[in-house]
Amino acid sequence: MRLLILKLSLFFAICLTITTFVLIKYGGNIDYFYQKFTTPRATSMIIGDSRSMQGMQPEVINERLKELNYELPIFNYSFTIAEAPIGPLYNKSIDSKLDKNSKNGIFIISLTPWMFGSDKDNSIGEYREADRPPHNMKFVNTNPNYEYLFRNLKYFHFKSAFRRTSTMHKNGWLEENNLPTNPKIFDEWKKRQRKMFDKMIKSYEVSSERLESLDVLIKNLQKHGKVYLVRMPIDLDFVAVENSFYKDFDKDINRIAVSNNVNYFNFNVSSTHTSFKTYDGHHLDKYGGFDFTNTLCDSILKKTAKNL
Amino acid sequence: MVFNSLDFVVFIIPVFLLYWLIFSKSSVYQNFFLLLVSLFFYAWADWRFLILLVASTLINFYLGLKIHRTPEDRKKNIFLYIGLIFNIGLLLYFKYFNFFYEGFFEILNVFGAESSYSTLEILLPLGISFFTFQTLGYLTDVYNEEIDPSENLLEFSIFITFFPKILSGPIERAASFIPQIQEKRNLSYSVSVDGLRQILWGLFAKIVIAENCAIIVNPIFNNYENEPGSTLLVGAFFYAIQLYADFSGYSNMAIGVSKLFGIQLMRNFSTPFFSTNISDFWRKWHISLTTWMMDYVFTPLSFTLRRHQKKGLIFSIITTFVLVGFWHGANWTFVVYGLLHGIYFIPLVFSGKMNSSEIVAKGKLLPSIKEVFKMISLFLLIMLTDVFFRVDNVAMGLDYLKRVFSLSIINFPSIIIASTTIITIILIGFFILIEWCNREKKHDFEIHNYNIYLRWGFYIFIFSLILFFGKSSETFIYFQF
Repeated sequence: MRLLILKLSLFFAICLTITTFVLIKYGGNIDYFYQKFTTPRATSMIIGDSRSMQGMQPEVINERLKELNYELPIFNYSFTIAEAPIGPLYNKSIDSKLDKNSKNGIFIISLTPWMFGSDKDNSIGEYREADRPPHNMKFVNTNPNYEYLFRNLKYFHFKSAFRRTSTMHKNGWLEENNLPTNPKIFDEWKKRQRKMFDKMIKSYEVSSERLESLDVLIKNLQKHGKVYLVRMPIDLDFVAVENSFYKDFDKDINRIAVSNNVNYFNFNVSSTHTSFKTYDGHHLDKYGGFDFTNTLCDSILKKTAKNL
Repeated sequence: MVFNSLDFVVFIIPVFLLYWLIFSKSSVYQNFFLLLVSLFFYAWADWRFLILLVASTLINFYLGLKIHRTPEDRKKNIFLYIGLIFNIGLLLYFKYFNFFYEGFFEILNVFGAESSYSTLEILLPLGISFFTFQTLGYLTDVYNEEIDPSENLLEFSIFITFFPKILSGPIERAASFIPQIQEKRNLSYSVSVDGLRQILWGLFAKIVIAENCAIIVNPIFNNYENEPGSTLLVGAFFYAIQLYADFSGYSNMAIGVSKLFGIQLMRNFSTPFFSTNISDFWRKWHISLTTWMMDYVFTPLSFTLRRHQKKGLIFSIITTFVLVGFWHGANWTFVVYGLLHGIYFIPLVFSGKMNSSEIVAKGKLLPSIKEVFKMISLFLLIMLTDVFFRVDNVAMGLDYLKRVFSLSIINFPSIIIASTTIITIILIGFFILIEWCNREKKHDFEIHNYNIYLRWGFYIFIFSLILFFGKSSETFIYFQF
C-alpha cells in the first residue's frame, strides 16, 4: 500500500509540475479567462463583455491617463456575454477582484443591451451565468490558480499552447491574432454574429433586476474612484439590431448616469458615429481597439478638463 | 459520474483508501462496503431506477435458489420461465416497447387500418442491457447446473451492481465473478499498478482518440448530404476508430478500476482491428457480449438445428448476430448492422474456417503482406458497416453508403489536410502502434516488463497527450445501450 501510494504521489506530482509549467508559461494562450484570476487585486478596472475584453487596451489607458493621477495600472476584468452580463453575480466578482484600498481608481464600464438580457422562459433561474467563471471562483488572485483549472477544465484548450492565436495578457486584455484575411471571411463572421443576435432576441428579455444591479455597481465603485459608462462603437446595422432588442437602452443608461453623476460616452450615435476596425461587425480588432482606446482617453481627458 | 470526470477522481480516492484501510478485515466487510459504494454510484448516475436494480437483484437471487432447490423438473422450468419472462420483460418494456408498438401500428396501416398512435415516454434505466444479461445468464447457468446458485445475498448483489461494470459492462459471468468475492481480497501492488495502467490507457483512448475523432465525424454525418463520397469515406473511417476507442477505452477503465479493488473483470476487447477474418474479429470485439450470445443463443440454436447442417448453422449465426445488433438498441439500423455481420460469416461457413482465430504475426515484429491485405480489407468492411451504427435510420445509412460509392469518391477530401485531422491521424497512429506492440498480451497497455525509465516515460508522455489533446466529454457511446 505504502509503495503504491508513494509511486502514485510521484506520478501525480510530475503531472502537476507539467500542468503548472504550462499554466505559468502559456496560461494566456490556452484559456481566455485564466490570467484574470492569477493577477493581484486591481485598483482600477475595465468592466464589460467580450467587446471591452478585446477592444479596450489597459496599456494605452495607463499611458494616456497617467497625468490624471488615478491609481493605475488599470486591469481589464471583462468577460463575455455568456459569463458576465450585468447582475449581482458579476458585481460580487468585481468586488472580490477590487483592491479595497483603492480610493482614486478609474472604472470604465462597457455596456451593451445584451448585458441586460435574461432568459424569457427563465427555467434555469434568473442568472444563467451562475455556474460559470468568474462566479464559480473563490480565489481570483492566485498564481497558478488550480481552483480555476479544476472548476473550469472544459474551458481550456491546452493545444493552443502550440498555436497561440490569441493571448490573454496579464493586464486582462485579450489580443486576438486570428483575424479575417479577406472581406469574404469578414462577411461570414459577421453573418454568424448576426445569427447569434437573432437567437438572443428570441430567447432574452430586458431584465429590470440587471438594470438595478448596474446602479448598485456604480454606487459601490464610486467609493473607490471615478466611474465612466461606455457604449463601444460597432457597425451601425448592428446598433439597429441591438436597439430593436432594447429600444430604451440609451435613455435608461443616461438616466442611471445622471442619477449617479457619472459620464456616459455613447460611441454609437449615428450622427457622430466613427467607425473603428472590427473583425466581425462588433468586436474591435487589436488595431481598431488601439485607436478606440485612444479616442476614449481623449473623451475622458476632455471631460476632466471641462470639470476642472 | 463517468470515469473520465473529476467527480470520479474525488469519488474513487477515498473509496479506495477506505476499502483497503478500514474494510479489509474480512470479505464480508469488503463486500458490504462495495455494495454501498455501488448503490451510491448507480444512484448518482440515475437514482430513479435504483429500486428497479434492487428489485431485479432480489428477484433473481430468489429465483436462482428456487431453481436449484426444487427437485421437480416441471417446477424448475416454471421458475426458470418466470425468471426469463421477468428479465426479458424488463428489457422489452424499457428498451423495446415503443419499437414494437410503432411497428404494430405501421403494419396495421399497411393493411389499410389507418390507426393513429402516440408512443410512451419511457426512460431507459442506465445499464439495463448489461445487468439484465448477467441475470439471464446466471439463471440459465443455475438451471443447467453449470454453477451453484449464490446462497449469499450480499455476494449476489455485488455480482449485479458492482460499480465499475454496472453502466456499460463487461457483462460478467457468475462463475468467474462470485468466487472472487467469496474470499478476502488482499492488496496486490502489481495488480493495482496494472489496473492504473489500464485506466491511463483507457483515458487516452476515450478523451484523446475518441473525442478528437468525434470532432471530425459529427459534422460529416450531420451534413452528409452536402459532402462528397471521399469525405464520407473519411467520416466512416474516423467513426470506426471513434467507436472502438470509446468503448474499449471505457472497458479498459472499468477493468482497471475493478483491479484496484482486487477483482478481475473479463477482457472486453483484444485488439480487434488486427483480425484477418470476421470470425476472428468477433472473438476480439465486445467479447463479453459475443461469448454470452455464443453460449446462450448460438450454441443451443445450432445444436437444435444441427440436422440441417450448413443451412442450420447459417440460420443460427444470422439469428445470433441480428440479436447482437438488436441488443444495442431499438432501431432497425442495429438490426441491419447485426444482419450484415451475420452475412459476412457465410463464406467462412462454406470454407470451413468458422473457428479460425489467431494472433496476427505472432512472435514477429511485422505482419506479412497477405496479413496486411486481409486486415485492411476486413477493416474497410467493418468501417462501412459501422455507418449503420451511427446513422438515425436505415434509409440514411443506405443513402450515406450510396454517396460513398458515387463518382465524388474521386474528389480530394479537403478535410484530410485540416490541422485537426492531421493531428488526429498522428494520435491514431500512436494508438495503433501501442496496440500492435501489445496484441499478444493480456491488455492493450501491458508494459510491466519494460524498463522503469521507458515505463515512466510512457506514463508522462500519455499524460501530456491527454493534457494537450484531450477533450472533455460527459458520456460514452455505449451508455445509451
